[in-house]
Amino acid sequence: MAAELEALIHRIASNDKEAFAQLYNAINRRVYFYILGLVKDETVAQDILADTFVEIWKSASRFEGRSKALTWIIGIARNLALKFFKRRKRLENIDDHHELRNGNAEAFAERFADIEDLKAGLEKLSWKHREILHLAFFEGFSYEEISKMLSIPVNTVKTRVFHAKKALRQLLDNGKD
Amino acid sequence: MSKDPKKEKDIKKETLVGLKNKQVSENMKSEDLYLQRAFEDMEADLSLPSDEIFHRICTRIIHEEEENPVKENIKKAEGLGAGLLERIRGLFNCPSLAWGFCAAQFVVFVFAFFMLNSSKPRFETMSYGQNSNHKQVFNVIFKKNVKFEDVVSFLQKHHMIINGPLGKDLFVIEIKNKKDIEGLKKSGILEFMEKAY
Repeated sequence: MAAELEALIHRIASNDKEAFAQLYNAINRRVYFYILGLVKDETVAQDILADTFVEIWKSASRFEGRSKALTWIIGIARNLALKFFKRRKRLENIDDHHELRNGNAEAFAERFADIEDLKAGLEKLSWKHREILHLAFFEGFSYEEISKMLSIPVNTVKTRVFHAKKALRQLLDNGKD
Repeated sequence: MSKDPKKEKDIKKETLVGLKNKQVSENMKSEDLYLQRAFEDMEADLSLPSDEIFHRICTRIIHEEEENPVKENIKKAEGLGAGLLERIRGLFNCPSLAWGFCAAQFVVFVFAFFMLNSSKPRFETMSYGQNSNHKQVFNVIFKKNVKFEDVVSFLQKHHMIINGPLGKDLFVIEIKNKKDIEGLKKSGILEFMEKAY
């Protein structure tokens, strides 16, 4: 998959519109899902998705293959989403949100019979927590890859994953009560 | 088989800790899998008008290309040099910069014109320009026995008497070509000849 995406980007760099359409069809849902997780607004997410692909078209020639193609694309989408946040002055600080109490390591599965609760919990998470879980558990990126993508140390990635899970557990506990 | 109660207790404790750790680790694994499943479900539930958005993207790209073809040329240009050239070309596509460039050129021309035609006072010696145009001036004394007609006919061809006769029958003559200098030397009519400065 990664090699295929990389090949498509190289073709796009030489103005291959067919390759662009192929790339769009291959990843548009994944990128949209990621953006939606951040902005939590379908219309805005669709706009950012469009911006992301316009940016891919424009800067494909600058893709050097130093990172995975999907990492590069998600990086573009993330930058655009952050620009949106800045525009709206809605930047959240995760430390200011969701006061956490020390939760135990009880598994989600044991707590919730219905996965719908978990999905609802994920929807309620702050965008930074949702993002880190998305990248780690849905996209399956390694901590090192996430660290590069988000320009944060690997240890920060680990602690953010830990806090995100903790916040999720708390949200789910509150929902249960 | 000896039954040491303390040892037995330790083994039991270690086993319990191991089991607990294993349980925690398994819980964590199942937690991660559970998260993954939740995300997958959420992605599957997405409703996205993909075609409509793709159409929007294509329209925007076409529009941007039409609006700014220079950027596209930069993209197509291979190498830094070509890119730089395209960027410079791009500057001239901007009307304000093009007019600015014309105005700057005009100022340079006007300045150069005035510099060349500036009426600065020039001081020249009396002989300034006499030796110009590659003409050479000589002091000559004709031989005593030379006929006046021979001298006149010779001088009429290519030479011109500028001054003379001066003291000791010295004439100052102007000779236009180098060949004529040689001809004059060989003519046998001169007693003395030297370059005048």
